[in-house]
Parts: sequence; structure tokens; C-alpha cells
Amino acid sequence: MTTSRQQPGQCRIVVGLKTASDVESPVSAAAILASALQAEVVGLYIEEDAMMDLAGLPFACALSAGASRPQALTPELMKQAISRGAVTCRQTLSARAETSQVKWSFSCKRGDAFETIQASLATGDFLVVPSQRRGFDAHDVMDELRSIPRHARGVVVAGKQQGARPKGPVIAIDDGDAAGNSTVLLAARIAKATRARLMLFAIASNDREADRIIHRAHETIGPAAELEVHRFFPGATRSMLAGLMHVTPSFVVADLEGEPFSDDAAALSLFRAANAPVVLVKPVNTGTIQD
Amino acid sequence: MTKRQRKRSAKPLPASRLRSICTAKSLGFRTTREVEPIQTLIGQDRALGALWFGSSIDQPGYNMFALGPQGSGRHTAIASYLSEKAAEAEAPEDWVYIHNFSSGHRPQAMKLPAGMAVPFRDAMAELVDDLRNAIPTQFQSDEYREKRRAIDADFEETQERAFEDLRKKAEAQNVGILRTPMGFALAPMQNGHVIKPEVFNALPEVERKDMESKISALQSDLAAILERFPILEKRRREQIYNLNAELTGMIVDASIKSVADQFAGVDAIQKRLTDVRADLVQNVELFLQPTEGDGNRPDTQNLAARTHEPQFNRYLINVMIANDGDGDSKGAPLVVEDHPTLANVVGRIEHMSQFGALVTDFTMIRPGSLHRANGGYLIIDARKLLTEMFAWEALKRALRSKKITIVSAAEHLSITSTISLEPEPIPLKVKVVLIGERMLYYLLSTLDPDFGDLFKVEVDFSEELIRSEENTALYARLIATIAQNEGLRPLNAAAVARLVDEAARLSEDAERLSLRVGRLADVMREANFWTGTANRRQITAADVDRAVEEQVQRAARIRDRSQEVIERGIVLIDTQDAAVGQINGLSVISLGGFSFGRPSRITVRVRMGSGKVIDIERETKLGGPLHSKGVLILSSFLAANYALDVPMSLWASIVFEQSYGGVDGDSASSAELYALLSALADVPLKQSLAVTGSVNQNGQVQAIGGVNQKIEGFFDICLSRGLTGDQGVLIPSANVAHLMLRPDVVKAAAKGRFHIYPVDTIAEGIELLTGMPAGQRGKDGRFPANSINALVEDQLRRFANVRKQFGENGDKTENFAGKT
Repeated sequence: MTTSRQQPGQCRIVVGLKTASDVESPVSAAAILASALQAEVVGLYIEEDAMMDLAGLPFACALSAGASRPQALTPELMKQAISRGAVTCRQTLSARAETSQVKWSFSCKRGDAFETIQASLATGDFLVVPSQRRGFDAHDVMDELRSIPRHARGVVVAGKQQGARPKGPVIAIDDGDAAGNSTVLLAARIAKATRARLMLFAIASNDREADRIIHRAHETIGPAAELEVHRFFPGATRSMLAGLMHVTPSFVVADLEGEPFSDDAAALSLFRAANAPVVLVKPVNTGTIQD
Repeated sequence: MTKRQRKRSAKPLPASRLRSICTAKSLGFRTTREVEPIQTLIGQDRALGALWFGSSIDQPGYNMFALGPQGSGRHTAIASYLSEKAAEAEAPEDWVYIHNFSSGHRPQAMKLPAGMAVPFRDAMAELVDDLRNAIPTQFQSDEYREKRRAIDADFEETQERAFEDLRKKAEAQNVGILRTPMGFALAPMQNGHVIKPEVFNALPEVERKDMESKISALQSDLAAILERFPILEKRRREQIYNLNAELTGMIVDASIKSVADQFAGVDAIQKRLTDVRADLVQNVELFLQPTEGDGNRPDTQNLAARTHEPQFNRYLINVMIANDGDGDSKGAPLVVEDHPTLANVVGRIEHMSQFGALVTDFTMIRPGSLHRANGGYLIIDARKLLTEMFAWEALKRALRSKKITIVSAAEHLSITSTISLEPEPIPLKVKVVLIGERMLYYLLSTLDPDFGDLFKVEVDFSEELIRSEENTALYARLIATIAQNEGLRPLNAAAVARLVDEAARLSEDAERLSLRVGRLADVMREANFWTGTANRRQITAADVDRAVEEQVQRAARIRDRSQEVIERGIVLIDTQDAAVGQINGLSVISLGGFSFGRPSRITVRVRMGSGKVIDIERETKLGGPLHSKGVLILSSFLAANYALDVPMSLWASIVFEQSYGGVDGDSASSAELYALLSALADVPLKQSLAVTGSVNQNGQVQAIGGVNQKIEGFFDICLSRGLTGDQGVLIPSANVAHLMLRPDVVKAAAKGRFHIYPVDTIAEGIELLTGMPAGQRGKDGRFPANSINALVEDQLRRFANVRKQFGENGDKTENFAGKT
């Protein structure tokens, strides 16, 4: 284990883990991203106030699929569950970080999950959000994405994957705006780290714009690098959904505020279709990803 | 004595009776090149008839046991005969093992028309190859993905709608739905946060009740949604299964159709293909599982290797029996099992080490000789079979049940608990021919109750052939055939004649020819060698003589040592003068493949006693039962022929002097009787003569074995000391027909320097040995004075009187006893 002390200019991958979130997917995604960026993984386990408040209510109980009856919740029961969750998170982070040979640190904090994670982010950090793609709290992910601090570099949405882990390409989605350059570069580095193919989804309304995006991508990654390009029209969300499902990507890198993630409903559909970690790069003050 | 015993003394046999000679001229050819080879066995009519019968009768249990001596050509003859018979028969069905889809550890046996197993195996391997490529490709098609996405989307939409409706409903009532480690929970919310317990408890009771009531109602809704999830998930899986089945069916049908067309009309294959199709539809995931280095792209390389991946084995074919049914028929199979272990006979199940465990499947079932011979013939050496653990029992079980069941030795001994297979037994129809020695046959007949039921046909190979003119000609053709088959030089007529004589000598009978063709072929090969060293083109009689002499020379070290110790006087054998109670007996010693005759001194001592003849060999446990029997017979002869009116009051001891290795057989019983009569009559026996022959209670001398070796053994001793013209051997008259003496013995006899006396009775023999008449009982019941018999009877009466006086006077009579 290493310390979580941040060096100036050093990039960190912060994994915000909640009591009931999936651990494996966000931690694995964080380790891969850290390996690609030679960054440190910072595990942050939140002992949520909301959980303890819930458990303190007189009628608190939990329902789960497959359980025959509701389970009564008590503060003691909740404390035990939170402690177990912390141990699991730490063990998983340790294992994945060692596999990827990256630095890591882990800490637990009590408080409101959203506020605590926000406060922990430093300039240039990536936040990995263990968000659900489906269920009652799926819609919350977009709120979290929109509200990350401006100094953060981006956010990774890493929910539980359906079926076996895909071994497909790393996809960079470029709608032609200024953030596209860093999107392609980050995707290329992840592809190199994971030995996956690199694929570009170019969103362009005409051929000229498409050519410009492709040309810029080639300039960014170098002329010798292999790049498979697929073109989509703006707003063609269904086509892109089908494309993502077809190629079963291992990672998706896109611009947080560009096409198609500017629309919440479309973004949620794309998260589900990708079935892989989605890295959303913030367009403001990001500069370029240092190689 | 009987009338037969009153014959005149025997005369020596003329030299012409001592060896039956085949002349080159009588053969009618110059060399074997002129002789037509013979294709069938000679002199084995009985065996060939049994072989025909056994191989023709189509009934259970009529398996064959070919018995006969080593080197009689049984293996070659049977294999040759049965290969012709098998070639005429129709090729039997093929058998394969297939995976049992309903019970994996019990592979199914499947019968196919002859010649179909291998094409079917190849077709199924090709089918798996095709599907290994086609199924993943089709499952990656846009059409399939779209259908699959529609199912998933429908499921997700239903799920999401339910979640969203409940979430909105809860939100409208200030209730939040939270995900906890234990599941979903409902909580009252305030400003987007779960209300603190102390705040909630401070609320008016009405509000709290109201909130609890709302949450309770929402909880019921949530429970209803969660209860529906497994049902929805099950429906989704069914829809996906049906979609997969539909697509798989389309792909598989196309591939299977070509196989089905290839084997149209073969019901077993059509049924198997139906089963395979059903299993493929049910287990299509086998073809969709990514393999090492597979990625998401279908690898079109190395498909053949992929076919052998274990998950695809279930559709492959393991050929156990494949026969040629393509018109260029080989007929029924003929298998010679040279190493009949349990596994080699009934087959075995191999295992493969995988991550430290032994695993197997039906493709690792290996056929045994019973599988390969099914529908045909199986030849096994009986001795080898019986010495292999469990093999004999397994063969019997298979023949009895008419099924081949594969069981390993480990399972027999219960020493392994590895999960293995229970292959379905394959029906068995085979003719088994065991080849073994006579002793094995008789032992099995006596000791194994199953043997008689399972091996009903005795194929008895004769050891010899009657030496007629016609058979000698056939034998010459046999010699010519061996020379041709073995690639030997041609033999001239004299060499063939010499071999015919040697064959008679091998059979130990001048009127028979040995059918041990193995020995005959050995002599021919060696003669051919000596011909080569002499740089001749044809094998001559001299080469045959050389081969025989060299064979003897190589094996005769013990014989030479035995003669040497006699010549040096270490073993005492007299060949001249005369002695009372002492005679030269003859015995045969067999060592390895060589036997030779050797004289032994037999001595007898007599005195008054209680009528007992002591066999010292038996008393010292050096005599076998046959030897003891001979001694008891001569005791009986004495008791029945002399001094019938007084008690037998003889004590006699008989011994083979300087014999340390044990004696058996009754061929010395006549010699022992002569020595006993000599001792009783106090008349010396000529030591220039040796004696062989057994005797019966009536004093008749009976035939014995090894007569030639016995005569030659004594001849060699006499020759080394110098032939005197008085020396010779007394043999039973019944053995005259067996005389095939060495040419040097015959030559000495022709010159009157060595004699062979045939005798029928003890009377004839004792006259030759003593030079005195045996004597016949006159009308007065007495033997003539000074005859051997009179002297014997007088002595026995004396012993009886002494014994009587001994009984009356106690120890005063002791001095009269002990006359020898």
C-alpha cells in the first residue's frame, strides 16, 4: 500500500465506493485507467449517513429479489454490513492494483456520499463512479456526472457488466469539438495498455467534418497506429447503440458534454449498450492528456 | 510258466531289422526342384476335419482347442486354413461407440453396415468442423443480434418501467428508494436526504402513522415488482433459448442434411443424426464459448484441431470395428492375438491426465482382439492366455455372455476409485481357436467346468504319420515345400531319403514319420547352412548328417560327461564277465531337447525273510510310482511261479547303484527280475549284455520307450572299451518295430560285433543272460534239475524251511539265513 499524498501535477484515479455499490467493475476500470495514465488509484469508501439514518427508523426494512420476506434493518446490522463492504473494497482494490502494477491507496470516510466524494477530488483527477445502469438509482448517475468539480479531468462510469467481460476494442467517440483530441489520445493509451484495438466513432454531419475528425485522430495517435473508423450522424443514437452492441467494446472514451452524452436519456441507453466502462472527459480546462 | 514262455532262446536281430532305410532311388526324383509342393497338411486328416467342423458349425460353444506337440505346424496350419475360410465369408458389421446424451458415463454401442464406420466417423468430424465455424458466425450476425437485443430491450423496458413508475410514485409521497447492502429499502425523505430518526420520531404520531402507511403500501408494490423479476428473467431466457434453437436448427439442419444424404437408408445413422441435432440445439453454447486466444473473432485457422477439443467429443464417433464392405471385400476378420493380456483381449479405457486428475470419455475406448475378430476368427496361444491375469476369465465371460464387456484389471481388484466409463457391451459372435499342448487341454477339461461348454471342438494334431510308400512320397513333397517356403537350396534325393530316416528316428518308430515339422525344418535349415559352407548348390545326405551330428554335438555335453565317468571307472559298469545278482539296466535321460541312453548297474541281495522285496529307490524316495509298480509286479511274479506250497519267505533288496537323481518308469523291471532270479539261483549273469523292458505278472516282457537311445548308450560304452562280439542288448520284441539305430550301431551288428536280442519272456531273457535253460515245470510239477527255475524254487523252499525252523527254535536258526 502506498500513501494517498498527491504530488503536484500527478493524475489520480479516485474510485468512490458506496456501501451497496458494485466493487469489481469500478475498481478494475480504475486500475486499467491508472495503468494507461501511469496514475495512482485512490479508493474512497463512504460510510453513508443515509444508510445509518435509514437503519435508525423504526420501520426500516430491506427487500431483495429472491428473498421471501423483508429483512428488518437495525443500526447494528447496517454497521456490520458497512464494515464488511469496506474490507471487500480494500481487498479488491489491492488485488487489481497489483495485477495492473499501479500505486494505490484506500480510506474510509463517513458522511454524505455525494458531498464526500466531491470534496476528495483534486485538480486533474478522474472520478470512477460505480453506477448502476439499471434500477431505481440508474437515473442518479447523470446528476453525479454533471456535478463533478470543474477541476476534475473526467469521470468513469463503471457499472456491473452483463455476461463475460468483453475483449473488444477501445472506442473513442469524437463529435468534432475541442475535447475530441484528448478523447482519442486517452482511448489510444487505454488500447495500448490493454492490447486492444482502437476504434473511432466519428460523429459528423457531413463528409468534410468527418474527414477533419479522422485526420485529427490520425495526427493525434500517429500515422502508423491502426485505427478503425465508423461514422455516425449527429442524433443517430439508435445507430450508435447498435454499433456499440455489435462491437462489444472493452472501454469507451467520450466527451462528457458533447454528442451523445449531452442528452441524459441517450447517455443512459449508451451506457447500457456499451456494457463496458465509459470514460467521459470534461471539456473545460482539460488541456491535453500528457503522453 | 505259460506256453508263450516256453519258446526257444532268442536270436540276435539281423542288421536289416535295426534301421529302416529309405533309399534315394525309391523316391523317384533327383532333386526337390522336380517335386510338386504340397499345400495341405499331411497326416492331419483328423485335425483338419475337426477344424472344418468347428469353423463351419454355427452354434454357441463350438470354439476349438488345437492340441498337439510344439512344432507340429498348428499355428501355421490353422491360420492358413482360417484365412481362406474368412476370405470366403461376408464382412461383418462395423461397430462404433458414441456419446450417450442421456447418460454420459455409459457410451452407446452402435452397429453399422460393413464399411460404414470410417466414413461416418469422418463425416461427423467434418460436421463438427463446419458447425464450429458456422455457429459462431451466425450468432454474430446482425440479424441475430437485433433479435437478441429486442428480447433484452423488452425485458429491460418492462423492468425499467416498473422501477420508474414506483420511483415516481414514491417521490410524489416524499419517499425515497435506497439501495442497501441487504436490498432495496424505502425511507421518508426531506430535502433530498433520508429523514433523521430523531426528526422522524419527533413528528406527530398522525404524520408518522401516515408515513408508515405510505411506506408499507409502497413496500408491497416493491415486493410485487421484485417477485416478478425471476418470472421476467425466466421468460427472457426462454425467448433467448427459442431464438438460439431456431437459429441453431437452421444452421445444423443444413450441415446435417448432407451427412444424412450421404448415409441415406442407414436407420441407425439417421436416428443418431436426429439425436445429435436435438443435443446441438440444446447445447449450442458449446460452440459459442471463447477458447484460448479466441478473442471475439472466429478463428478460421486450425479448425481441425478445434474439433478435438473435449467439448465437441460428444458428437464424434469412436470406431471400434471397421470392416471393408466396399466390394473389394476382405471377408471376415482373422486375428492372431500374440499378447493376450486382459486389455488386449477385451479392450481398455484409456485416461488422460488433466490438472492432476485422470479423465476419460468414450473416444478413449480402445478395442481388443475380441472386437477386431468379431464376426470372424480369433487365434490365441492357450499357455500365454492362461498366464495373463484375468484374461482367461474375461474370454470365457465374453464367450458365455456373447458380449464384449470392457473391464480393467484395476476394477477387478477394486484398487481404483477413478470415475470411469461403463461402455455398452458389444454383441459378440466369434470363433475362438486356442492352441496349446495336450496337457493343457486335459488339465482344462478336468479342472475348469466351463471349458467343456465353451470349447467343444477338439482339433487334435497327430505327431506322426504311418511310414508307407505313399506317405513317404507325400513326406518328400513336404520337405520340398519347406525348402521352397524357407528359400533353401534344393535337396537331392539322397538328402531327402536321409531326412525321411531322420523323421522316423524323431518319431522313435521305424514305421512312423514325425510330423513335428518344426524340428524337421530346423535340420533342413542347418543342412542348408553346411551346404553353403561346403560351397555346394544342392543339399546332400552328407549335409543332413552333418546337421544332425552338429545338433547332437552341441547338446551332448552331459552325455559325454556321463560316458566319461563310466570309462574312467568312477561309475561302475561291467561290459564283460559275469556276476551273480548284478545286471546292466538302461535308462534314458532327457535334457532340453536332447535325450540319450545310459547304462546303470542294478544289484539284488536276498535272504530269508517274510516275503518282502525291498525297493531301495522307493525307500529313499528316489523312485517314482511307476518304478515301484514294476518292483511290485516282479514280486508278484515270483510268488505266483515258485514254491507255491510254502509261504514266501524271501527278503530281497533291489537298488540302482550310483543313482542319485531319482528313477522312474518300469522299463528296468525285467532287468530287476533277472537280477533277482540270478541272486536266488546263485547263477551269474553276463555283464556283456544290457537289458531293457518291463515285465508283467505272467513273465512277459513288454515294450518300453527310448529303445534306440538305450541301445546306443550301451553301445557307446562297449565301443569305447572295445567291442568283443559278445556284447549286446536285450529288448522287448514289441520294440523291434521302433528300431532306428545309428548307422554305426547297425554296422557293428552287421559285422557280428554287437547284438540286439528281442525277447518275449523272462525265460528267454534269463537263458541269454546265464547260458542255462530256464526250465519248464514237468508233469510231476517240478522244474528240471539244474535249470534256473529249479534253482530258484529250491532256494525259496530252503528259505521257507529255515523260516519254519526259526519259528520253532527261535534264534538257533539264525545262522542259516543270509545266503546271497
